[in-house]
Amino acid sequence: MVGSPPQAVNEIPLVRIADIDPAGLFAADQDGRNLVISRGGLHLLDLKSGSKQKLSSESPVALVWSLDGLVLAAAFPITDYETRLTLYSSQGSLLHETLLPVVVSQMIWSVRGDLLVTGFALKTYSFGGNLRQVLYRVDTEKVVERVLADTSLKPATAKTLAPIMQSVQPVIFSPHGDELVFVKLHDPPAFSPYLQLRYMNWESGEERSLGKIPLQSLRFFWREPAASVDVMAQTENFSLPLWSSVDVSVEKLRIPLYRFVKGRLYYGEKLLADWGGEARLQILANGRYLLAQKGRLYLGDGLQSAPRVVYSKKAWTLRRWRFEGLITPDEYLNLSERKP
Amino acid sequence: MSCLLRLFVPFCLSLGFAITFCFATTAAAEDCVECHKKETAAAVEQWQASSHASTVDCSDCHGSDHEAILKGDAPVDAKVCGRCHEDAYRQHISSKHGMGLHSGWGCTRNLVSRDPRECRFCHEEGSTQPKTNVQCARFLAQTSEMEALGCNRCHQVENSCASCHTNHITDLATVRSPGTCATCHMGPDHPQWEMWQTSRHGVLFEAMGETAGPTCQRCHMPNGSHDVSYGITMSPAMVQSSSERFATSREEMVAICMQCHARSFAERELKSGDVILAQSQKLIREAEAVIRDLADRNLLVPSLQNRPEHPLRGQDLVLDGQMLYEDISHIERLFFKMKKYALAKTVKGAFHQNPAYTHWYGNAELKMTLVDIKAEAARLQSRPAPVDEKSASKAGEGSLFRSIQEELQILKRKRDRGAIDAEEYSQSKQELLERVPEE
Repeated sequence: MVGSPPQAVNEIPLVRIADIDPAGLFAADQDGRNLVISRGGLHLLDLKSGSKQKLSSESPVALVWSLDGLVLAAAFPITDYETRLTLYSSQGSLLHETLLPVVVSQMIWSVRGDLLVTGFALKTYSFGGNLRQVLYRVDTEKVVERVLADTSLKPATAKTLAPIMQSVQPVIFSPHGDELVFVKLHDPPAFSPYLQLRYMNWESGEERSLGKIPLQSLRFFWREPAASVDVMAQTENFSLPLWSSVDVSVEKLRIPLYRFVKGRLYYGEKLLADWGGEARLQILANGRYLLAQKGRLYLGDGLQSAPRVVYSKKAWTLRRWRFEGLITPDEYLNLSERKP
Repeated sequence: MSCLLRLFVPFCLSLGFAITFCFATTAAAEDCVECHKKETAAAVEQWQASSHASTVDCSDCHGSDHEAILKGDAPVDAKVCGRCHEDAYRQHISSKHGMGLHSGWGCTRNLVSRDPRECRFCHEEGSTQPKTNVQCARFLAQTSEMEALGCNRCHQVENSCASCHTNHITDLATVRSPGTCATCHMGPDHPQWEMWQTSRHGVLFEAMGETAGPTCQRCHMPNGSHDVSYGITMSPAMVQSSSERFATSREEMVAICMQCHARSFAERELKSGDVILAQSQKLIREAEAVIRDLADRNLLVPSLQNRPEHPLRGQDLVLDGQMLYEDISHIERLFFKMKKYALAKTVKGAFHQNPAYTHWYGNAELKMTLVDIKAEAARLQSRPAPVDEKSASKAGEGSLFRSIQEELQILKRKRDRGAIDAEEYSQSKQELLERVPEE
C-alpha cells in the first residue's frame, strides 16, 4: 500500500452487479467470493451465475463475513432495543441464532475468529434515562457480555439524544479486532454532558481513558501501525495517540489509508472520487471494491491492494501484555519487530 | 488498702460534687418507679441503692419521652454521663476505649509514620468520633447477630459507660474488680486478664489483696483516671508509638511501677518487653514475606481471584489489621493465628510479667507457626499452579507464552509492592522477554 496514490479509480469502469434497497446493506467477504445484499429481505448472491438465495425476509441492520468467508453474521432489529443475531454458512444454512437486548452499533470478526458486537440500550423515563453500552463476544455455544458503560441521564439529555444516539456512540475496533476505542457518555447533574473516549483491550478486560470532549457526533478511523485513532468531530478533527510514549517514534511509520466519508473516497488527504453523499463503499482485499449508489450495487477496481491482516498469536499476546502493563509500549515495538 | 483509699477518696468526693452541682434541681421519680418496680425491679432497686438516687432522677439520664425510650431512640450513652462526669468522659474518649467501635479503622495516632493531617480524613477537628460508617472488615463479614453479640458487646465501650459500670449500680467496687476488664480482655487474641491472674501480680492479689498485688485498674487507670491508654507505648496492633510519645508514655508507666519497684528494675523489665516486641515483629514480617511471595505467584488456595471479595479491599491480599479469618487460604489462617494470637501473647505476656504466656503460649507458638507456614509454602510451591480460567484462555494451555506471562505477572506484583527495585525488575524482565517465541 506504500507508494504513489492510485489514479485508476475513476479510469476503470464500474460493473453493475445487483439492485439493492436504497438504504439496504450489502457485504462481501474480503476476497469477494461471497456476497449478501438487502433487497426486500436478505439474499445470498452468486456473482458467477447471478442466482439469488433468500436467507431472510427481514432487512438486517448489520452484516459481516468472517475473514475466511465461511460464516456470515447478520443482525436484525426485533423491537426498539432488541436485536436478533443470526449466523449463516457461506451456503446459506442457518448456523445459530441469539437475541441481544441492544441496538447494534458495530459488528466485526477479529482476525482470530471472534465475533464481536457492540450495542446500546437507552431507556427513557419521566425523571431521566439510562444508557447501557455492551460488548458481546458471540459463538455458537455462548454469549459473553461485558458492560462498557451504564449511565444515568438527565431528562433533557435523554430526550435530545434518543434520535441521534448512534452518531454520538461510535465504536471502532483495531484491524486485529482485539482492541477497541469507544465513547462513554457522562451526564453529571450540575454540569453539561460530555463524552469520555475510552480505549480497551477486550480480552484483558483492562481499559483506560484517552480524554474527554463535549457531547457531539463523532467518527473514528484506526491507524496502524502508528496505534492512533483519527477523530472526526463536529467541532474539530484530531489524531489521538493510543500510546503517547511511542507516538513520536512511530510517526515515520504512518502511511496513507483509504478513508470513505460522506460519499467521498480519500487516500490519505487526497480526494480520489466523489460518488455523492448517499453512496456506500466496501473495500475488498485485492484492490476491488463494492459501491452502492442509488439502489444499485457496483463492483469497482483500481485501488491498491492492502496487506492482509492475519492472526499472529505473538502479536495478539504482546498487545494484551502491553495493555496489562506487563511490557512497555517501547518493549512491544521492539518485540514486534524482532526477527528470528 | 490505705494506698488505694488515698487514690480514690478524692476522686469520689469530686464526683459527688459534680453530680450535686449538675442536678441541683431534679424531678421526682415516683412516676417511673411505680411501674418499673414491677417491670424492671432490679434496675429500680439498684438505682435506689446508688449514689444517684438522691441526686439524679430517671429522666435526667433517660429523658421523659417514654415512646422514644421504648424504641431505643434515647440511649444513655457516654455523652449523657459526660454531662456531669466531665473529666472522666474527656479521659475516656481520648483513650483507646474511646475508639472501641472504630478499632478496625487502623487509627494512625500511635504510628511512627503518622501524619497528624491524616486525622481530618476520619475526624472533625478536635473529635475522636469518626465522620463515616464502620470500616472494620471483620465486623462487616459477620451476621448481624454476631456483630451485635460478638463484636459490639465489647467494642460498644466507646459509647457506653455501662460496659464497665453496669447500668444503675454506682458502687465502684464493681469497676475496681479485674473481673470487669476480663469480660473483654481475655481469650486467644489478648488474654491480659489470664496473664495478670497467673502472673506474680495476680497471685499476690489473690493471696493478699490489693495492697500486695496491683489490679488492672491500679496500673492502667491510676488515680481513677479513665484514660486506659495511660503509660501504653504501642497501638492495639502492637506497633510501637512514635519516639516522642513513646518517651512520655514510658515515663508514665515507670512512675506507676515505682510505687512498688526501683526505677532501674522497672526500666529494665519494660525495655525487655520492647526488645521482645521487636524480635516478634521480625518473625511476623518473615511470615508475611513468605505469603506475599506465594500470592505473587498465584499459589494461594483459594487464589485471591477465586474467593469472595474482601469487604474493604476487594481482591487484594490483606494481612494487616483488616485481615479476615474466613474465605482465606490455610496459610493465611496460620498467619492470622500467628499474628493475632501468638504475637499478642508473647508481647503482652512480656509486659504483664507472665513467663509462661511470653514463652510457651507466645514465643514458642510464634516460631512453630512460622515453621508451619514455611512447610505449607513448600507444599503449595510443589503443586501445579491453580489454573486461572481467564489466563488459560488467553495464552493457551501449557504454552511458552503463558509461562512467560505468569513470570511477568509475578515480577510486576513484586515491583508494585516494592519487593524488588526498578533495576532488578528491568533486568529480570529483559531476561524473560528474550524467551518470547516468534510464534
